[in-house]
Formats: sequence, structure tokens, C-alpha cells
Amino acid sequence: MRTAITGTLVLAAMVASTPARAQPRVPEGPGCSTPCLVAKAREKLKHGDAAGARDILLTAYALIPQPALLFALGQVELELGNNTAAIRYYEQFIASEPGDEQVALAQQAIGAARMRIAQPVEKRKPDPPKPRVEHRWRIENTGLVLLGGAAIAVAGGLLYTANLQGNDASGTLKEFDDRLDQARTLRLTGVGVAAAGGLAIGLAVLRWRLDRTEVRAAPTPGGATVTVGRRW
Amino acid sequence: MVRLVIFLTVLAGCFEDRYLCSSDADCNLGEAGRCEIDGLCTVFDKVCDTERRYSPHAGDRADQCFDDHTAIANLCAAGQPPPPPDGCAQDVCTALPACCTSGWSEACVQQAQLRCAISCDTRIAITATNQNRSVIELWEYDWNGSSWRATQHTDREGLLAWVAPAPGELEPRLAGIEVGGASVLVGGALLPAFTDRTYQAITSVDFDRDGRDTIAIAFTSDIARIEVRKLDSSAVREFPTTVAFGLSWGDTDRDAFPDGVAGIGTRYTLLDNIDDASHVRALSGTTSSNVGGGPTTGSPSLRKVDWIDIDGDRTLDLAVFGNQVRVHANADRLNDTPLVAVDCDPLVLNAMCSMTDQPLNSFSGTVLPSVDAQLLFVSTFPARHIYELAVLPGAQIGRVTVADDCPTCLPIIAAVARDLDGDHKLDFIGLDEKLGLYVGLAADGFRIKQQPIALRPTRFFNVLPSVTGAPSP
Repeated sequence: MRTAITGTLVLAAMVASTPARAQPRVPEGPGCSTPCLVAKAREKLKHGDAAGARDILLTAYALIPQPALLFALGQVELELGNNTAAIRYYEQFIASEPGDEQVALAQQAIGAARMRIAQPVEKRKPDPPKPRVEHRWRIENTGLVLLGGAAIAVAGGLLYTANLQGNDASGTLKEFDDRLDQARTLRLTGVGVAAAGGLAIGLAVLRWRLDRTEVRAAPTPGGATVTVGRRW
Repeated sequence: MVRLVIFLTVLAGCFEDRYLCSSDADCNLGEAGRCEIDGLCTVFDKVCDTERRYSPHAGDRADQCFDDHTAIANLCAAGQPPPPPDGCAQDVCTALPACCTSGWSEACVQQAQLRCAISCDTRIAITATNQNRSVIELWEYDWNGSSWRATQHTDREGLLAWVAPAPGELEPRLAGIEVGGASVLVGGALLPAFTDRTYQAITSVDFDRDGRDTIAIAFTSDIARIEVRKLDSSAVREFPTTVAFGLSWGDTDRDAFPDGVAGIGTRYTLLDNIDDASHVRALSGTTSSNVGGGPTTGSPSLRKVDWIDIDGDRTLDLAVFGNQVRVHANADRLNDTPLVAVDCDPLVLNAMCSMTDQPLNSFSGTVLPSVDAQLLFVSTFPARHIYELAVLPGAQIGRVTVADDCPTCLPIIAAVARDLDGDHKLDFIGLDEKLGLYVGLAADGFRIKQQPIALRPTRFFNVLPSVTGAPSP
């Protein structure tokens, strides 16, 4: 399509640059002549600015209403997706009675524009907005964490005492043995209490993670709705 | 969470389950606790060779059998704990397993000289007494490999003996009674002595199989007793054995604890090392025997006991020299019945001499094993004949050779056997009544030669040799 447009512009430029005996002479603008404007339009198209190219071509057609510029305008509108406008320009071009070959080209272009019009417009539905998840920290969780922390602190004390007792080799072997038994009991108790404390803290964290609130915002024709839901 | 629990368990599990004791009283858990030389407690356990098992609080040795095997730096000295069976000790203990179980006795030293590439100097401590002990001379005869040196010890009295080196040391320790009788000297250590005691023997022995430096002192006071004393803790036990003369250590009951033999008069008693009611080792003299043959004027009824594997069954047998020569050689445990009894001159095996001859003969001597033969060297008293006896399995004397025949010479009344010339064959060393020294080298066919040592003016009634040595360069 870009090549075709460029070719059309080239055609238009040739038309513009060749003095046509049958065409009235168009006064050139103060800044840029018709070929100059066509060149600018071509430059715009080269940089993908079809709208800019259309403006320039319209200016050029206003200066010198050459039929070839109609064809070029049809192509630019086609590029811009303005299929109806494009068809109108092609029909005006055909009405200017160009050669058979050019009429065929214009008919072909009209056919293409009409096909585009006939195609359904598929628009991608936007993704529904992601719900925002909020976790709620409850007072019971704080209690669990405090309880767990206290248990771990107590366990630390028990383990420390067990360590002191277990490594105290004073006295007789019987005394050492008794101390070691006691130290082992303390150690087991300490480990158990520490585990319970850890479990309590873990439970609090788990409760916090699972206690979720989803906030969902959805736009509607009449405004927006906010849905709030909880999940456990 | 699991990691936290594991971490806490590991953190809390760092108890050093290792209790260090300083005395037996500390080891008050389990049966008959004992504080070992390594500072760990053991309890009685019949299953273990040493009948001791480490307590559960002995670190990495917990619940293992206690092992008193100690590498011996000086294989030339008797009276040490059993060594681990490697190197030279392995060779010795293949021939005599008791050396690596009950202890390193003189029989083990002799086997080491026969079987190992070791060379020892020879040191003999001599206690020479007249009949009523009014004259006692203490001498030290040293062989340095080329010559003898005689040194009289006047810094001690009553008794002179060699005991084993202190644990880990090389040099044997000379023991005796301090002048004045206040102390027993063992090397540089002073042990309490008592003037009402007549000291008969000072020996070292791993009596409890605890590897500690242990001295056994035999003495007579009201009765004969043996005192077992630990030098590192001063712990002492006393056993009323009723015998003390010539205390010597071997293994009579094959239980891997050193047993003693000592005598008095014509009686000699096997002193079994037993486990007493409180599981402490004790001496029990339930087996006694008497040297027959009648008393001999001018000679004690009992001169010496020696240990040798006479029948080649790899157990220690006993040779007793006195009014008779008696050999006890039972495989399981020695009893009061000798395998061989020798009397008379010329020697007669297992028979009585005539009543006329009996009072005329007594015997001294030594065991002299070799790699392929077990010999007894027997010297007669009062007329000097030296016989070489080879005892064969079945209690047969296979060969009797006269090694020396000099009826008019001073009789040899004490003898030991050591390798003097480094040929890994034991040589005969004898002492006469005036402490004259005689040597019969194996390499020389045991031809008895007197050594250049001056004779004493006194004719001694009893001469007690105590032999030891140290590795010579």
C-alpha cells in the first residue's frame, strides 16, 4: 500500500510538474509550488505521517485541482482507515475521466475500501481490572505472636539452663549423671516449648495470609461499581 | 519451622558427656566405680578382659571396655603393663600370650631378647644376706655390653631391687630401703616404711590392670604380707598372704590378671589375683606346695621362683629352686602338684634320694628358654655342679648336660638368664656365695667362666638377684 501511495504521489508529482495544456494554470503559493507540496507529502508519508500527507495534498488540490491528486488523496485516506472518504476521492477521480487503466486502478482501490468496510471491526476487550487483595491483621494474631515469642523466650531460658547443667562436670559421677538427666529433660522441654512458640507465630502468619479481602472495581455505563469479597 | 526445631535441638544437644574424676570416690555410679589413669570412671564388668568398662559418661570411650595396654618404651625391663600386640610385642605374645594380657614379666623380656631385634644392657641388683640377716650387702652388677661393673650400695639397706621404669619412661628404677628404715625408695619416690617389717621383695606389677604405676612390696612382720601401693595416688592395700620371700609375678590361673608366687620356709604359695566381694582385686593364696627333699645345711629351703613356658603350650609355667627343683606346668591353671620334681646329685627325676643324700643337696638356678628349647640351668649346693636340663612335652627330661663341674668351687646360689652378647640367645649368669660372678655364653656352649669381680669376705646364705635392663644403643 505504501508503495502504491508513493507511486500515486509520484504520478501526482509528474502531473503537477508537467504543464498541461488542458489545465488552467494555477497560481503557485507564496512558499511552495504544487510539485514542492507533493514532494513534502511524499516526505511525510515516508515518515509514516499519513495525516500530514493528506493535509498537504488537500492544500495542493486546493491550489491546482488535478484529478491525480484525488487518487492520491483516496490512497492516503485508505491508509488512514477512512475508507468511505477514500471511496469518495476515487469516485471523483473516475468522474474526471482518466484513462482506462487509471479507472481500473481506481475501481480496484474502491473494491479494497469496500471490503474493509464490510469487515467486522474486532475490538479487544480490555482485561478486567485485577482485584486488589488486602490481608487483614487481627488482634488474635497479635496474641498468637506474643504467646509464641514468650514461649520461645522461655525455651531459650530452658535451653540455656540445660546447657549450663549439662556441661557442669563438678561433684561426683552420680551428681553429674543426675544433672545430665535433668539437663536432657530441660532440653527436651525447651525444644518442645520453642516448637510450640514457633507454631503459634506460624499460625498467626498463616491466619494473616489466609484472611484476605478482595477489592474489585469495575466501570459501568452509569459509573463504576466496587465489589468487596472475602476469602479464607 | 522444622529447621528451627532442628537448630534448637542441635544447639541444646551440645552437652559434653564426659565426666573427669580425681579419685575412686568420685565414681559412685554403677558397680565398684574406679577412677582410671585417664581421669574417666569405669565400673565392674566381668565381660571385659580387664573386668572394667567405662561409664556412660566417658565421652568417646563411653561403655567401651577399659584397656590398660600401654606401649612399652623399654622392653628390657619386667614389671610393666601389657603392651599392645604389635611390633616386637606381637612376636613375644605369639609365643607367650600372657605378656600381652597379664603383664610384661621377666619371661616376656627373655622372649623379646630371643625374638626381637633389641639389645639390652644388663643390670642386676643383689641383696646378699647371711643366715641370721646380721650382714646384708647390697650390690649392683652392671653389664654394659663389654664389661661388668660392681657397685656396692650403702645408701640403702635391707633390700635392693630393680622395678620397671615409671610409665612412659625408659630407665628402670632402683628400689630399696632408706638407711634408717624410714622409707621405701623407688627411684626418686619415697614410700612409708616401718621398722617392724623385714622387707623381702620390691616389685612393680600392673596388679589391677589399671595401667597405673604400681609397686608390690612383700614383707614379714607378725605374718608375711604383700602391700600393693599406687605411686600416683598413694592408695595402698595390704594382703596377709603369709608368704613374702621371692615374690614374683606371672599368670597361674590364666585369667589375664597377674598372679604372684612367694614363699616362706619350704612352702611356696600361688597367690591368685582375684576379684573380691567389692570387685577390687585382691590376693588369695589358696594353693600351696612344699619343696621336698629335706633341708640342706647352709642353704635356704627355697631360693628362687622363675617363669617359663616349659611345655610349649604358650602358657607360663613355674620353676622353683630350693631343696628340690620343681616345675608346675598345667595348661588351665597351675596347681600344687609339680609336673617335674628333681633332686639329688646327679639329678634324679621324680624320685626320692636316699635319706643319706637328701640333706646334702639343694639347688639354685634359672630358666633359660631358647626359640626351640626350654632349658633349666640347675646348680647344686654345696658341691658345685651345673646341669642343663631340657624338659620335653610329657614332663620328660630330654637331656641333662653338665655345663660345669667343680665340686671344690664356691657353689652358685643365684642365677639369672639374659642375652649378654647380643646374639639373641640367652646366656647364663650365676653368683656364688661370695658374690663372685660367672657367665656362660650360649655362643660358647655355656662354658662357665668367672668374671673379674672381687669376691666378698663373707659367705652369704642367701643371694637375691633382681635383674633388669634398658635398650643399649
